[in-house]
Amino acid sequence: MASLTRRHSSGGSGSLGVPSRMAWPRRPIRHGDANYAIPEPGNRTDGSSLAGRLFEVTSESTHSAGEQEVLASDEANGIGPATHRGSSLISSIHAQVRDVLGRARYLIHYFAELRWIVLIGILVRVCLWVYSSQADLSGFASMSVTMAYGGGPYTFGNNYPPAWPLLLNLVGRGMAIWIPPSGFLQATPLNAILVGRIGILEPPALVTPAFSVAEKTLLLPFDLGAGLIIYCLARSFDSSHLSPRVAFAVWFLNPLVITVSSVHGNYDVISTFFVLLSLLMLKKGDQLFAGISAGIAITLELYPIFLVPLFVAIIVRGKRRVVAFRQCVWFIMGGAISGLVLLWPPDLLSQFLVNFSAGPRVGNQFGGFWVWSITTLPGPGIQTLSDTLTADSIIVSLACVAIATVSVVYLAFAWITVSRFRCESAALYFTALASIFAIYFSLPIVQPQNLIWALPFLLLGCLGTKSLRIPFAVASTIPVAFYFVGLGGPLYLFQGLSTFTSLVAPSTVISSVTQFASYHDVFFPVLLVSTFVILALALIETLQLGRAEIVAA
Amino acid sequence: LLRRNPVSAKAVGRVVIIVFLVLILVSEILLYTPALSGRLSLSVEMGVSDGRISGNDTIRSPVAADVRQALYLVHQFPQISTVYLYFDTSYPWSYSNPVDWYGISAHIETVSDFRGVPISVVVLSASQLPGFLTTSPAPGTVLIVASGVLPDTVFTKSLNLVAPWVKDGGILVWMGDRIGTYSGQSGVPLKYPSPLNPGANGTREFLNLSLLGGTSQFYNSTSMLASAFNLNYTLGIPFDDLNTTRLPAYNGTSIGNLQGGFTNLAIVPLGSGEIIYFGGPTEDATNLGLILTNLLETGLYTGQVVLVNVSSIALSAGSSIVVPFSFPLSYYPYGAGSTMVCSFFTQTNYLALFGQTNCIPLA
Repeated sequence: MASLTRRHSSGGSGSLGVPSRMAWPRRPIRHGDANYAIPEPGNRTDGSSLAGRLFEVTSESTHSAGEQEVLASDEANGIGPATHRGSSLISSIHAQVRDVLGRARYLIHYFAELRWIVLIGILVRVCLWVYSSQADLSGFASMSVTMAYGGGPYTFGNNYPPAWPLLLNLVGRGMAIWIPPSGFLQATPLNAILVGRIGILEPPALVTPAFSVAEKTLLLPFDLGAGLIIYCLARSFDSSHLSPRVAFAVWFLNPLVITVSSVHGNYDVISTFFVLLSLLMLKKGDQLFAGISAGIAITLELYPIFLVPLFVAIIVRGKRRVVAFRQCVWFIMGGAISGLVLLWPPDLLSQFLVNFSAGPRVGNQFGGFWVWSITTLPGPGIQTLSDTLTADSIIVSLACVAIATVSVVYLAFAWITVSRFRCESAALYFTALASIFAIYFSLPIVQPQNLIWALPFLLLGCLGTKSLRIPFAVASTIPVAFYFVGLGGPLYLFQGLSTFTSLVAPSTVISSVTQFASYHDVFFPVLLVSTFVILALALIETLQLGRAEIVAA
Repeated sequence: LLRRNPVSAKAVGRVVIIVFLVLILVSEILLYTPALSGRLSLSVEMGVSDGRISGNDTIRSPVAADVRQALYLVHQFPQISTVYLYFDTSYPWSYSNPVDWYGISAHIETVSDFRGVPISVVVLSASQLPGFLTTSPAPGTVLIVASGVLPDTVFTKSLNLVAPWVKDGGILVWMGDRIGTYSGQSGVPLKYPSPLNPGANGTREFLNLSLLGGTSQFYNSTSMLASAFNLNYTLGIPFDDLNTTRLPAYNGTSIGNLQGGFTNLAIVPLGSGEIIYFGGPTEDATNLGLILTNLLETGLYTGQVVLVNVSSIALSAGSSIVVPFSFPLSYYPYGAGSTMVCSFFTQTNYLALFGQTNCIPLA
């Protein structure tokens, strides 16, 4: 039996601590009851969003005396939990299904105020799914084809961490029910030859619309899920009910998010989702599942490993040593569980590490570990992409990783110090943002889609700081500006043209040239601006700390 | 989980995480359970009697697949378990790129492992090449040079360690720019013209210049051998492909695709050894790795192959078929004692790795 309780009721409260004029819940919720008392938006009396209030429920059982009577009566009549004792299997399953459906309906109402934003966002995405394509997507399709024909996750020679090939396997095997795997791709010989002429990693084949739709459909729930977590986290700031919805809209309708997921088909949003989920679970005090979520994020893209110091800081802050240690153990156990599942069988990890460390220019976009530089010493390095961006030296490479590690550990300690005083949440998100920028420092190449990692924390940090709320929308466009300036994102739409017409050459040349430019151009603006951002964040935190000390004095 | 609290973020988060892990487990089960994987299974029963080769192929495929069987006679050949790849990014390259250049090694190993006939690739740097090339090659020793440029440690205007090694029985696989044209120096970008480049004189040490030509970048017409052994390499370099009409005069064999009287892949003997010459750029390591594995696994690299029959079969998803075959063998090119009868089965779908060679002695 469960009950709902508002933590912070702003109006008059009934037996459940709910404003008396609010219509939920009209009666206690029972197992097998699909008709949860869903509040009607029109019943709001304080002008606030009911959806937002509904989220603020706790897991504590706080039944009133009246509830207890109803519960006892239900159990006596064989309703609710008591049905498990004597009912048949079928009725039990039926009750469970009704139960799940009821809860799903409840959640839909919880997020009701977002429905138009969700609808518009999905429509835009669906239109782009069919048409657009790009180089990475062809690699993903190739991996799916290889696995569908019996190969392993690393047979194609990719260097993505294991979780992503395993997800693509589901896409490929699912599609293979209707389409022969060879139909995921269409050959474009000119693309292959352009590789030699321009020096760009263009694929020798483009994806067909069917694969484009299937792969990007996989990304949609994570686009949406990350937005919903941002929405939930944003609700905790104060009673302003516009901002969380705007935060969700800025995420879900953001051209950067839409383009990365629905044009490029890059999966950065999945790891971002699990990082946010880990953060949410930590804030809810569930260290085990936070650890599992963080482990999933790390096996998708390696960069979240740099956020572990911050996660540990969240766990240990303000707790006794024994409690903090125990919770850290739960967090680590969670990470181990996800590792056991995602790195099985054992040779999967070794295959990944071989591909990750043995190929030229591999592994440079997942966390700064650039083992390849070991084997290229002492030569001038690889010439095709850029001589200026890359660190063809083991010393430089390790120094980058060391700087990033020291930075994120320092930032975690700084956050513990600052959060003793005030502005806990905003400081947390700014610390996470600064950690992400510290990661960018360690990467030989910052690709535009990597900016997705920073966007949620930028949004939440700005939203949680009153002085930054007005320009937060402007601030959130910084990554978008990087994207469009650096990569020429819309030009990727020309590659979609290649999928449907014979205009392979011009479209490929255009995208190749812009992509080539991006590798050279994106890094330096990111480096420059990230420097200023980190300095600004440090200044904000220092000012907050100073103000807090003054107040305390 | 939900029972405790039907709408808490914690409960929903837990469900999402558990569902994700379950999906990953499903994916792993699909990948690693033989009965559920998409791998094609094949058994070949083959025998020679009364001057005929006959047998049955039993094929089963969980997904839709196109397969091809080549029946051929080949001179007895050593099974190759190790090949050598020159790779050194401190030296320049031409019509190549480091990703595909190095990637060939990974793809040969992956494809051969997948087929159960593992071939390991030993990477040699420019400084290791002189020692390798000054040692007399054992039969079936293969060196892959996919850079289009030889380093000055083994090849200059006055030094050539490569051609003598081939003439001594080595097998050189060449890709990228024209063979012998350049001599690369460490850390120095390639220039043309340059007094350091051997140019046409360097090429003559490997091939007769009259063999080279062609104007196309694309070779889309598949020859019989290329089709039989799935050597679908479609790229070419203008003026660097091989003349199919002149190849026989130099005991060469065209095994690649064709365009306007030229081929982009051929085997050209040189002394006791041979050059397997790709007249195209080093691009698409996945396909190149597959082609090289097919060449090495089947014995086609010897250039001493006679096709008996080529047949194609299309399988629908989940189907299983038995294909009987019987063909006369009236021609014994290499003497009955040293000739093998082989069947090479390959899945021809793009990026499919399946291949299986079965050989029996003719005698």
